[in-house]
Amino acid sequence: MIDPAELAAAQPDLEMLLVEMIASVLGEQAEPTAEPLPAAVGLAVSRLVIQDPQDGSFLGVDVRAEGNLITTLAATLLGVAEPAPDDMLDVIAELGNIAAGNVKSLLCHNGQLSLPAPQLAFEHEGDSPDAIRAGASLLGNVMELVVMPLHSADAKTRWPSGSAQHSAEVGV
Amino acid sequence: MQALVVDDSRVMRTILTKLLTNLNFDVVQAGDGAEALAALDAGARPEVALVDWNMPVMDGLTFIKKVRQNPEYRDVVLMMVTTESEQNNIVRALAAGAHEYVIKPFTDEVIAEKLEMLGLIER
Repeated sequence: MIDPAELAAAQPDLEMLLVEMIASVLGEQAEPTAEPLPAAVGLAVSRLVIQDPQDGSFLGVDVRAEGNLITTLAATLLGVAEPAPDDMLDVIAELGNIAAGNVKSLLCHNGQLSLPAPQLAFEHEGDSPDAIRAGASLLGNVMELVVMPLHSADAKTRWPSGSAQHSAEVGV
Repeated sequence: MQALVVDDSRVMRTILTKLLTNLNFDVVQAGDGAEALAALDAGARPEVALVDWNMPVMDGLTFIKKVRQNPEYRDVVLMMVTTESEQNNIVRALAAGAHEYVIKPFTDEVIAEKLEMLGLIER
């Protein structure tokens, strides 16, 4: 289980990770921001879970962005004029995957990373008090990376082929 | 020259395909290791395969092992392109037969440099 103090101390690293990911993958300059995602707008959210092999504990990693930002990014990345919901899901899923892989290196060495579970939502539930948030502004919008301890992996969590978790799921 | 891009993310396949096309590769795409093996079995003979690690159906490490076990595919250069960045995973991938290892996020320059080092492109 990651110590909450260790998680809190990682906030500046998470902020840097988010800004660097945006620059590398999206080719956009982003700035760290404490500004929250606006309430009551369409959101794209990608949730991944990291399981610590030592004690079996779980860490949740969310990347969240306004839907109109992901629409813009999907149009650019996939070369489509009018991105469909599946296009938006693909974009937020891969952003979540890259962010969570780097969070794993930072906070949970040798942990098992799940596959991304992306969704489009009107709003997200509030975060737990021990969640750590990093935000970045780009193209006039906000993207955030939130890392939080979880009691368990939720039902939507899918594990990659070849992982012990996947083998347990399919009963191998 | 032909390249095989193996990634369950359509966005990542699109990014890599664009990059490789600009470097004059013809690109074949697969959404997981099993699809990629099927492409090879169907006759695709890429000079290089860029392979993600965490995928459904068949992960990248298993794909690399299977390719290395088949003498017909011995000339395919294998590059793992993944978010898995721990040292032990890099060692596992190289021991399984990967020639190169690139950590996401990457820049176009990093991929081009690796391809140049492998003798697959000249710049």
